[in-house]
Amino acid sequence: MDYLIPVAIAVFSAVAAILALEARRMVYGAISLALFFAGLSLFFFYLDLPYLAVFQLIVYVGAIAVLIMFTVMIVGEKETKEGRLSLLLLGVLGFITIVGSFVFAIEYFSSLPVAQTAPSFNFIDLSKAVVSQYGLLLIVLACLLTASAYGAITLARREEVQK
Amino acid sequence: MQSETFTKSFLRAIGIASAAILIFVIYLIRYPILQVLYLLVTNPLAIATTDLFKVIIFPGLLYMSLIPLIAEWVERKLVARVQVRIGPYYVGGWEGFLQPIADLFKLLFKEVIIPKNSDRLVFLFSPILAFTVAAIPTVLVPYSKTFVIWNYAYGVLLFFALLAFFPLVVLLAAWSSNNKYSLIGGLRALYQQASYEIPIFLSVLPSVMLAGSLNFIGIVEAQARIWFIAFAPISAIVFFVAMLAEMERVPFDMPEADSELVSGWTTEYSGIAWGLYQFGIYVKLLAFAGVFATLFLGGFLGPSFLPHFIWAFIKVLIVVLILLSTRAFWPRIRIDQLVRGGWKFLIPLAILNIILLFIFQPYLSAILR
Repeated sequence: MDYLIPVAIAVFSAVAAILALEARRMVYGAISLALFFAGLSLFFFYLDLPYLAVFQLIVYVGAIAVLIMFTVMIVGEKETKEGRLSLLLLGVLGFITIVGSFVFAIEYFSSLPVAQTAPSFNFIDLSKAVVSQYGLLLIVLACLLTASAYGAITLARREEVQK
Repeated sequence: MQSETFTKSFLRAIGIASAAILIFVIYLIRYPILQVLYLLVTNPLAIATTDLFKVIIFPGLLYMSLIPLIAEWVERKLVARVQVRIGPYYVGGWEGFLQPIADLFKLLFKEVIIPKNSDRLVFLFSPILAFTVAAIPTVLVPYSKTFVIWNYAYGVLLFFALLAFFPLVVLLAAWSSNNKYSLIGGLRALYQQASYEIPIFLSVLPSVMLAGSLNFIGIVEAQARIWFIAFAPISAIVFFVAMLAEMERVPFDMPEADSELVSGWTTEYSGIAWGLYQFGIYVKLLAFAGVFATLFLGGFLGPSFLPHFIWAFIKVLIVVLILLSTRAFWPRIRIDQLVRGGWKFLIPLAILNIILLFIFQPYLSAILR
């Protein structure tokens, strides 16, 4: 019974993720993406990481998924072509390989001896470090992100003008 | 004809699915049910402390469905009296107080019309989703130390995270109707709800800072000596205004502006589908009123001659009444005024209150503890 919850969440997230890529209509893809983000947040709740889970919900479901859906509705959706079955099979095969190797790696490393005293970690220390020690770096990164957003907008606009 | 068979099969599928879910849920909660049955025989008063009672009756489903019905009647009566009309008068004898229930039955028996070329699955699912998404955050609002369904350590964060689902549902409803008024209304709702989430978060911050807790009950207990509205009056006003905008109530009802957009993103909905939207909006109002009372008005605290949950109930009702009365007193503003007001006034005001709290922090801690 304990195994059932993570497996159910995993199946839900995987199905939503595949649908997000494979859905014929873009709006269904966007909905599936939002569901996938919600599934990830459920995973974080299950792993007892409430901050991460809640911010996953606020940022990804509340902002990113809504923005994507907004874009789809503003631009107008085009029905995508039917995907090739061979490519899909290749993708599924690749996915299984990667996940399998991860599982193998986890099995391998968990058998190794681990230091028992993990460094203690709390959010207050993290916040203090981000604001004081890495404050300048944070501002530089924020500027970089803003600049890249502006760059993306500029590129997108130029393409529109050329048409 | 085709759409009618689709509706029937959809409703049948929903019925079978909900019956299956109901049976599974009853199986999961078999022990609480047995506990309630046992208490019914031995000690009926102790039922109020069981989880099942909380979920089904007091801060849960029954309360959540009754208050919207009463609020609708109060709103109609209040607006009518302000506009020198009589309002609902006949149904139920005294002042037409059964009018909302009559409306509910009318809506239940009306046909749900599905427009041509609409996305039928999303069209029929989004009203159900809207009600669910509006009802879920209510479980976090405390009505006393025991009358809270889920006393979660990060309740404040989770409440606003769950509310982030609502614009998504609105957008889906708007898109699936295949109607320009619906889409414009949905996009306006999205603008509004996305841009007013920031002032809401910023105006919640003073209460969280003063209490040093993200738990609703922790915040209430920190107000034992003095309510937080005394320290964060600007934040309370910002929260109130942003709350009105989040719920699309007058003066921020551009998403369903009757005179411009027919009725916004609910234009194509009829019957109980439309009823579910209205219900969802009133449930959201109740949840927001509960959070306002908890964050700024001392929640369930009050003089001891009344029990805690009655104080919480009174405060929530007062906030609901003030929220409802805005509809009678204010005209609708324009969308550009709304966006400018949000970014240029509400966010700086919310930040101003946080800065003031920082400056007066040493004195405040002496008053609070």
